[in-house]
Amino acid sequence: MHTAPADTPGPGWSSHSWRIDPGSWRGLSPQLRRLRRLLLLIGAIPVIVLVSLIGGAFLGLPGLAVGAVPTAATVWGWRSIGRAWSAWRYAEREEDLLISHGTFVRRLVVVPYGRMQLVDVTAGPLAQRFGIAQVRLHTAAATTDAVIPGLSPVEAARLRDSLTERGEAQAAVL
Amino acid sequence: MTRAEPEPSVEDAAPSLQPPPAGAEPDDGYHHLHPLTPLLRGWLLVVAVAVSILKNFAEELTVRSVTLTLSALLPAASAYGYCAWRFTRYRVEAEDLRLETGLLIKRVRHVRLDRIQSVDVAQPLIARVTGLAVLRLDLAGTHDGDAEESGTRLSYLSLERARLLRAELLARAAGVAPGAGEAPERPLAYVPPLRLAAAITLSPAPWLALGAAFILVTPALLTGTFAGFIAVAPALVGVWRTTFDRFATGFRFTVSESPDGLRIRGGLLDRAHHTVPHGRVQAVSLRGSPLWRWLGWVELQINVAGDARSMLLPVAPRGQAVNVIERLLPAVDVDGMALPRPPGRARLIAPVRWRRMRCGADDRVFVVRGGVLWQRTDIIPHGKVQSIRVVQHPAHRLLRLADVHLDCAGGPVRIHARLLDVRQAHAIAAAQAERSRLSRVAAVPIVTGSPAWTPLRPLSGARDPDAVH
Repeated sequence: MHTAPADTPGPGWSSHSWRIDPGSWRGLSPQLRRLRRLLLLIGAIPVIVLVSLIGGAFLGLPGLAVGAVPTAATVWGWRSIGRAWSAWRYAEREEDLLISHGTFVRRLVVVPYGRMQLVDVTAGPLAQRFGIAQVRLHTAAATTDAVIPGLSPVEAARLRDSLTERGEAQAAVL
Repeated sequence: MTRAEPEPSVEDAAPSLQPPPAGAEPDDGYHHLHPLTPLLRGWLLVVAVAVSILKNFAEELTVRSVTLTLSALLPAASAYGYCAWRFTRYRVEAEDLRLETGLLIKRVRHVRLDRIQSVDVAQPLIARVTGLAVLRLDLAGTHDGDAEESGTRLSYLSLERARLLRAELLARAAGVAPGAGEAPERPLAYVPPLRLAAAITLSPAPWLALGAAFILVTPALLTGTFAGFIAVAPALVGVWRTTFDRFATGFRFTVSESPDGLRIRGGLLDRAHHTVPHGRVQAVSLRGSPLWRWLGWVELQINVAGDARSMLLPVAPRGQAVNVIERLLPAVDVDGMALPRPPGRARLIAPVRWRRMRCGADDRVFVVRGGVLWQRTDIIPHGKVQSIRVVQHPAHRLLRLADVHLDCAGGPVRIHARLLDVRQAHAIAAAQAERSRLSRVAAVPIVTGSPAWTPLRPLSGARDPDAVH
């Protein structure tokens, strides 16, 4: 498991109203960042090559510089994957699970253990190759949006067991 | 060409099956649906099949061809209908309703009584003519659109039988002695048809639609072509239908209170009779419409888990609606709560709406007010909050603002407190998490079948702790 990096995402968006030790936030598996960046490159490199070639064909040698535009976009994408990855954190409290994520739109989701109806752990074929799994919590409300996208399978299983155990202990009526 | 007739295979298979032992029936508590059921369910299908056969295979429509088709079809259909009816039976057991269906593939469904969110006796038009009714049970857990699976319908029963069964199910679900018959009720609110008609006339939706239709039609009238008419006709039909549906569902709407829950009744063509046990209301919303405000009218909506219908009062004077809310959520003073406003800088984002935005909590509920023309007050009891979200959009970040959502189960009511100071938003969310926790803890203790059951207590204990999972 991986503890969250030290940079907290801005003032006011901190742990103090939640009375939570900043050290107990946990982050996602670095494998998720690697997977996402790999997918980005797979999509971006052909585009960069194609755009540069087209630019070169029409404008001669300086036209290759047109490829700088998709390259810059890729670099931006690379960075924002990193930011999104480090912004995604979760913390288990006594009675509820906190998930905080998002750099553009910031979100904090609080799911009480007693309200969880089921915990999904999913891993697609690619995610399995990279050794990550996604944990999703469902409550009776359809609008609950509690996902932890990339955890090592060991951590995902531990989290699932811990959540279901606490959920059973604290289950409340609808 | 193959003959498009589904029945023969069923008919061939049916005699080989053993029907359930007939002698044991009265003893083991099983009941069948009303004998008219196959007729009501099947006649449309029979007509459709007959029409399609006649259209495809008869050279011309003669008395002979009609008679021949029907003479083949009717026995097959009635045999199937009879068998389906014969093999469908239900029984009320200590903790669940057992429903057996299926001619070839047997299917047994157990409906946990303590999970019932609401019980309906509905009378669609055709059932109303014959004096029958449909009993519908709504359960929690309409998660990924499997609404079909989460509820159960018993169609059709005689109206009398449906009422008795509903009373029994509700009594068992509430943990009181069954067989007491239908519990007495006390009316809370009634919507006179005239007021309903006035309210619909005063609401903007039909007029807006009519105006739009008129604008579309005008060029057609001026140029003398009828193409515009043809385009607008379906829209007009749509407007008429939605308006009429609003009137039909709200016709003679009655809300009353009884020991087994809140009873909601109404309908012009399809009469619905809908019971929500105590403590199953997840959230309440009071909504006004621009013209209603002069008359002091509001609409009352509720969320019930696993139930799409949410109308509690189509239109009522505000005082009456507040009264109903006070019955639903005892000791809640809707209008008397002091609710703080968002900070002044939120005016940059919502210059007009800002004046009406308020949110706050007392020791039982969280209340959000909002809306300038369509004013609304959304209320959620602390114990019904499913999860809490704090959301900050980029524009809000510049002003250090954030929204708080309290997620609740079912229905159209959403609790969304907008444009709070970001620190305050976190403080509210954290405080709400704590309030909801305390409220959940307080809601658990009642034991199944407890004699200490009292009418206005939440129906909560009649289930085991891990029932939610």
